[in-house]
Amino acid sequence: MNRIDEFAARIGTAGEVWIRGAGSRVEPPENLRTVEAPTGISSFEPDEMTVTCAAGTRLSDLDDVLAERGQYVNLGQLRHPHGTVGGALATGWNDHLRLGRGPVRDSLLEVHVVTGRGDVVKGGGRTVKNVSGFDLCRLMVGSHGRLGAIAEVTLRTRPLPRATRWLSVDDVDGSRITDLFAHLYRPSAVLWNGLVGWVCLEGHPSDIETARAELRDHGFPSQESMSGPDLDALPYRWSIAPRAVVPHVEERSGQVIAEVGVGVVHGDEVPPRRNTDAAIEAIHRRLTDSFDPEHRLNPGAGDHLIR
Amino acid sequence: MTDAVLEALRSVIGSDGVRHNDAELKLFAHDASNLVGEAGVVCYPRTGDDVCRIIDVCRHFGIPFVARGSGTGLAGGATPIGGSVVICTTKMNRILDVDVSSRLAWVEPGVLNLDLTRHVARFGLHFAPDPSSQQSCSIGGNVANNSGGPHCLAEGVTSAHVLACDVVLSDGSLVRLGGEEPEFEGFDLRGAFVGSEGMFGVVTAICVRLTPDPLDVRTMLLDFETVRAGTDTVSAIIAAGMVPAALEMMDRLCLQAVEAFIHAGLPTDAAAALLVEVAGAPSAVAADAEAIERIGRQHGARTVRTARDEDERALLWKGRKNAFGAIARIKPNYYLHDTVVPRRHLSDVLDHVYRIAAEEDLVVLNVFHAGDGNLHPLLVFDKREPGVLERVHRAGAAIVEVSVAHGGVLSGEHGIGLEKRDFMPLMFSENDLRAQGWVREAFDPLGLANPFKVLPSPAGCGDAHAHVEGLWV
Repeated sequence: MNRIDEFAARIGTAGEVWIRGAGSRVEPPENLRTVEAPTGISSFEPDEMTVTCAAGTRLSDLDDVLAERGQYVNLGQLRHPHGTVGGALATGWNDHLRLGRGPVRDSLLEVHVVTGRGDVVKGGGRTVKNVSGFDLCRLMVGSHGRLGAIAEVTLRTRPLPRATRWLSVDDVDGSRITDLFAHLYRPSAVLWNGLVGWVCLEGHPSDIETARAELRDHGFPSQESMSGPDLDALPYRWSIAPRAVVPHVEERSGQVIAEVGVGVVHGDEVPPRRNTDAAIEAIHRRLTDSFDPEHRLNPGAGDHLIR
Repeated sequence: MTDAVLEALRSVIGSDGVRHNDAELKLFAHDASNLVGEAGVVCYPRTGDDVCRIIDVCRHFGIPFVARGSGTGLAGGATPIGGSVVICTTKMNRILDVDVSSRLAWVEPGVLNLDLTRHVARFGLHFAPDPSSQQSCSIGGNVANNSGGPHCLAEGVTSAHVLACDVVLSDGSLVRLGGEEPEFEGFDLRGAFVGSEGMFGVVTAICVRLTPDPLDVRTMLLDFETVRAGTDTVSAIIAAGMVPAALEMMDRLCLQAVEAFIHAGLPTDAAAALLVEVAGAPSAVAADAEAIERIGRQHGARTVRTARDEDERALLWKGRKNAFGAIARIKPNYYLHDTVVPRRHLSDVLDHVYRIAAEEDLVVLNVFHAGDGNLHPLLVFDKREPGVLERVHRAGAAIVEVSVAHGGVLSGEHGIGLEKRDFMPLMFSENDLRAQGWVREAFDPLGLANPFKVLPSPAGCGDAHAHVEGLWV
């Protein structure tokens, strides 16, 4: 029996079950049967820029193997360095380099999941480009395992940047942040708290130097910064349209750090609950009823998101 | 199409938006593939509300509908089956909003791909997906097919550039999937919708990400004595940690056809040529270009030609993008295939492609996205020759099978549509296909949106495979 079928057998076909990763993102509830996903990298092809691994593989183990060949996979590790590949995909949480590196959901090429019915279902394919059939991969990213327990995945890797540098720029108010952003060529991150801007630039060291000099010439002198600002003190994420970031930051009374150009705002206030459309909820319900008719997979996970 | 349906459609969107003459019905019975179906009536909505009203009529009468953009699809995705209502979005062609500082735009589905890029060029921005048909294909069609293009190697295909879709579902409701905001509640229905080939609903507005124009570009042409030397160079470039903006390959016959057409000084005696473009910030571009030239020479590149200016760059790209025009000089008809294989198997699979074409006594040219392993064998023929279409279809089927056997996939950017529907079991098990059917049913429980496509055993009740002229197998 291969490791995917063995995982499916452990999940079985009846009774509630929680797929346990490292517990670094979401704590398993008490009194629920837990099953751990298989682990291990089955193939890493640097010249294909793909890696295939089981969902229980630790992110740190994957990072180490890829880094030996100068590559990485974007699974939001900068913000959430611990945990498993399956957990990173099931939550789909992004880190603050999303502006440059893209969202986590774009990293998944092929997925094998175990549905609530106990069937193994594959979506996508192992090549870097593929439009064969409907996109089950993107549906699984951020689904909190409610449609299927992720067993094995093929991910798209990327070359590690030649250099990564964080700069901070003082005296950036609401009238200047848009200007700062406009003077940067494809930054990996632009963070802003209403007064200070932090910029992450990745690429060739001399391009980074040039960009820094141009910023200075445009009236934005910068200091080197070891890393970006500390986001850990800001537990809540607001998600707003990028064009709404400046007024949002200016109106907040509490502490905030916004991802400019993305629209995530880290803050100490609980974001408001958004209304969901009845037609969208009906699609959610039909999906869940098909993939997991008894709603036995990860009951409650992401509940505020998925109803 | 009954008079009652025509009357109902005219009453909701006006007589001039409803066409039922023989010429138009014949024109809309197929897309750019050779798969011919049957259009019941052609509707031209002007707004999202019009789309809702048309779909209300379809639902009332129980008639399927097919959304169609420019009809440039190559897999029969927009070919109507059994007298469906064709919803043609060409009159929904407004660019609704461009937010330069956030680098996004809202467009209607009928906006042409290149028109958007031209519109935002003044801001130093462009829409990254660039199918070879970008002068004529619509962004709604790009969304339906999750379209690619040469520059998707570095930038990703359409799904990576679509933030939101306003969609009319078959029950007539208008929903927004995704949004300008980066994180939204629930499942990624936006992601599921992109590439759903019109089977989940009809898109009425799209929010796309715009990409800053590169600060510097270097375009190079490397030529080789063997195809394998060229494909080995591709793998070596990627393994060295570079993702060029584009990495395209043309084989000898294609080089010869294109050169006769555009006179760009292409190396017509080479077995293959690689068109490589690196783009980005200047130092990175210079370093990558130097490394690529070195890797090319290590793998036996005879010459490395670097475009000296924008004119020469445009000329080299003209050769690549107009290859399909050039082949008309060889034979009047062509059938363009689209599979993807792991890059390292490109050479082996191409050997098979040449063998398959020879066995069927067909001429084959190859011009393709080597960087992502996306093959585009082009079988050229004269359809007046008796029996030639059967040979073309047999060769196509063999190419698909050999690609999948080498760890590849059925389609990289053209989609499944009708063309490859019955090949889906090569790649997917019954369980896999049933799950894809669940997603379709979740969006379209009525089964009215573009039925009979993509899935070999349609999930909706009462679905039966209608006969389609030109369909394989």
